[in-house]
Amino acid sequence: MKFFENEIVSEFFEDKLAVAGVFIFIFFMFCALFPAVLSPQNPYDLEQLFLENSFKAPFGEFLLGSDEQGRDILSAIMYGLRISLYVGIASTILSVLIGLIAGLISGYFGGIVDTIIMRIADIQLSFPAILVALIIMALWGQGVTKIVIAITIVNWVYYARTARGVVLSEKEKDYAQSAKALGMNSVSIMFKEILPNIMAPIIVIATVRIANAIILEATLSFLGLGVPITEPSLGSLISNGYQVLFSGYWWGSVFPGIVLMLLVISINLIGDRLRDVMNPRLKR
Amino acid sequence: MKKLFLTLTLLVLFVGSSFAATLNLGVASEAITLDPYVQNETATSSTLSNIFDTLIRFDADYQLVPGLATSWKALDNITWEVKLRKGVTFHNGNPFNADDVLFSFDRFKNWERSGFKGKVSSIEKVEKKDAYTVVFTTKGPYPLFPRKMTYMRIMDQEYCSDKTPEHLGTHPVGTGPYIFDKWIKGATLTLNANAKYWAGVPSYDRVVFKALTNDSTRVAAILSNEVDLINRVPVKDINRVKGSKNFIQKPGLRLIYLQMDHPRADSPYVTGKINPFADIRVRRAIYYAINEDNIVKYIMNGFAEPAGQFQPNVVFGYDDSIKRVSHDPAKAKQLLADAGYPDGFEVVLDAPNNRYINDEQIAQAIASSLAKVKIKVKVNAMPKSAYFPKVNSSDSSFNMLGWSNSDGDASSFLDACVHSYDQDKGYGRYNGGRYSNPEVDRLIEESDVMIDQVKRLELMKKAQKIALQDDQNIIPLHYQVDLYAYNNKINFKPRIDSHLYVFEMSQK
Repeated sequence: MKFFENEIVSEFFEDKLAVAGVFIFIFFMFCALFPAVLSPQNPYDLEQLFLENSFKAPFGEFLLGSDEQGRDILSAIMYGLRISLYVGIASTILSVLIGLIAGLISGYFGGIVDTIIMRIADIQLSFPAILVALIIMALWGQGVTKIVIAITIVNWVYYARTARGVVLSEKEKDYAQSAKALGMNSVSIMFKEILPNIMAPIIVIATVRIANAIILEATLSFLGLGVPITEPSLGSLISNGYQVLFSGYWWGSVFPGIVLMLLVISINLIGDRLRDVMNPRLKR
Repeated sequence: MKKLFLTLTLLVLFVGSSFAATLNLGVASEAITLDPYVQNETATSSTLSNIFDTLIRFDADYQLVPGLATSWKALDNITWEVKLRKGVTFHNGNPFNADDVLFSFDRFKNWERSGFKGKVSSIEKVEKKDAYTVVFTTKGPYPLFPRKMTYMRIMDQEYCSDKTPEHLGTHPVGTGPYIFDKWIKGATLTLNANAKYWAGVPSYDRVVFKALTNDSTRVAAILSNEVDLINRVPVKDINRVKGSKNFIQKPGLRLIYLQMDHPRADSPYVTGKINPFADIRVRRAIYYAINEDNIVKYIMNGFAEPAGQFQPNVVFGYDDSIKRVSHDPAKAKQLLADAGYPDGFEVVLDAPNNRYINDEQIAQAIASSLAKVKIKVKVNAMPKSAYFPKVNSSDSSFNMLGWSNSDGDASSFLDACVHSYDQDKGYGRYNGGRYSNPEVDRLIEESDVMIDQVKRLELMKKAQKIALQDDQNIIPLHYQVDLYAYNNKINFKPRIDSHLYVFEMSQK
C-alpha cells in the first residue's frame, strides 16, 4: 500500500466524515461520467419522450418521477450532474491557472504591476459574485462554455489574492533568495522554486470553491441565465420543477435539490479535511 | 354607555363598509398606459373599456351593439352616417357631441404616437353634419367599418386641448361607467363609479385592479380572498382553485400556430442548403406529425381547444367544412420520404417563453412530436422582448406565434398573416413566413371591399381553404382558453375578448 505511505493521504483518511465525502463524490463522478450506461432513459433524445408519461409520480414506473414532457427525473439528474460537475471543475481549473499566474506575478514583482492586479481584484470583490456573473451572462447569453468563462472571471481573484499573500512571504525565504543569487531568472524562480511551495493553500481553496462554482452555476441556471434548457444542469432542473412545485408536482425540484445538496456537502467535507491535514499550524 | 357607543361605532363602520361595494380584481398584467390610443394591447384595452366608451361596441356575445352611437347606416358604398347619443357627459362634466368624435378620430388616425393607425387606414375622414350626427367617408367600399369603430375610445376635446400626452397617459377622462381615481404603477389602479352613466348606475362603487404578475401570487390572492377575481389562472393550479372558488373557462380568440419560412432557398436555421419548408409535402407532414391532442391534454391540462383553421367558430369567416387532420406519424413519415427527407432534417424552432400560456413547454412538446418522424428540432425559447423583433425581421426558419382576432372577423388574420407581404398596401404585416399566393391575395383584397356579407363570407372561406388546405401556409395548433377564478360574492360572465368589463359584473 504505497498509496497510504504518503503522510497527508493517510492522515486524510483518518477522518470518517471525509471518507464518506470521498465516497459520495466518487459515486456522483461515476454517474456523471457514464450516464448513458446507468440512466434508464436518454433525456436529451426527444424520440424517447412521450407526453403520455407527463408528471408521473415517483417510486412507480419512473423511480424519481417524470416531468411535464415525460422526461425521467433520475436520468435527467444523471445528465444534469455531468453538466454541473463539468462547469464546476472546468471553471475551477481555469480560475486556478489564471489566479496563480496573476498572484505570482503580483506578489513577486510588486510595485505598479501588483497595484494594478490587486486593485482590479478589489473592485471585483466589492461586487457580489452573483451580480458579476449575472451581468456577464446577461451580456453574452446562454451556453455551457460561456458560463464556465463567467464563473472563471468571478473566481480567479480568490486564488490570485491567496497566491500573492503566500508569494510575498516565500520570496523572502532563503531558498528563493539563494536561487536569485545564483542568477536564476525570475520566471524560473517563480514557477520552479516558489510555485511548489504555495500549492497547498491553493488546493484547499480550490476544493472548497468547486462547490461554490457549482452553486453559482445552479443559481444562474435557476434564474434562467445559465445553461440552455436543452442541456439541463441540476440548477435548471430545480428551476423547471419549481414552476410546478406548488401544483403538487414536488419531485421535479426536490430530487435534483437533494442531489445538489449532497454533492456540495461531499466536496465541502473533502475540502475541510484537506485544509486540516495540509495546514501545519493545526498539527499537534 | 361606553360599550354601547363602541358597538354603535362598529355597527356604523360595518354597515358603511358593506354598502361601499368594492370589487378587487387580480390581473396578470396591468395597463401599459391609460392613453387609449397608444397601444393595442389586451390588458390596456381591458382596463380602458371601463373608463371610456366607443361609438359601437361588442356585447358579451361579440355582437355589435350601440355605444355612444345610437345608430349607424351606410348612405352609399363609401359613406357611413352615425347618429350620436344625446345627454352624455364626460367624467369632468363636459357634454359629449360631434366635435369630440371629430377630435378623437383625428388623434386616433393622425397622432404620431397612435398605435391604431392601421385600424382606420381605410377610413378617409369624418365630417360633422349636426351636433349629434357625423358622416364617415371610407377610401373604398369598407364592410368592416362598424367593427373598426369598436377600437376608437372617445376622448374629450376640451379636456385634451391643453394637456400634454404624458398627462393624458396617466389621467384619463372618458364617458365610461367608471371614473379614474388613481394609478400606482406596478401595484394598483383604482376607479370610482360614474353615478351619471348613460346606460345605468354601475353596481360597484369602487373597482381596484391589482397587478399580480406572478402566477403563484395571483393564485394565493384569490385563495386568501384578497381579490374577488383573477384572470389567467395557471393551468397547473386549477385544481387548487377549483375546491373553494368558482372557476370558469372561456374559449378565447387567440390562435396559437407554427409559421414556416416559405420562400428562401437557404433558410438561416435549417441544416443543409435546401429549405425543406419550401416543399408542401414537408409542411403537410409536420401538420400530421404533431400530436395536438396530447399537447392539449398534458401541457394545457385540457384547457385549450385543438385548432383546425385560422379562427375559432365565433369569428365571422369560420368554415365548418375545414377540420383538423388527425395525428398520423406514419403518413407524416411517408410524406417526408416522398419529399426526399426519409431521415428528416434539423431545424431551430423559435418560441417565446413569457407570452402565451405554457409557450415554451408547447414548443418542447412539438420538438418531441417531430422527433418521432426524424425531424430534429432544437427549441430556442426566449423572452418576448427579444423574440418578436427576431421573428418580425424574418431572422427565423420555424417559429411559434399567436394571433388574437379582436375584430371578430376573418379578415384580421387573412390581411395581416396570410396575404403576401406588401408594405404599400398595408397587407401581410405579420406574414413572417412570407407565404405568397396571388390567387389568395386576390380573394382577400376582393373580400375586403365586398359590402354584400354573404359573398364576402364566401370569398374569405375560399381564401382560407386555398391557403390552409392546398398550401398549408401555417400549422394551426390550438385556441387558447381564458381561465378565471372568482369568489361567491360576484356575478361574472367572461367576455370573449378577455376584457374585464366591470359594468357587466354585479354583486350577489
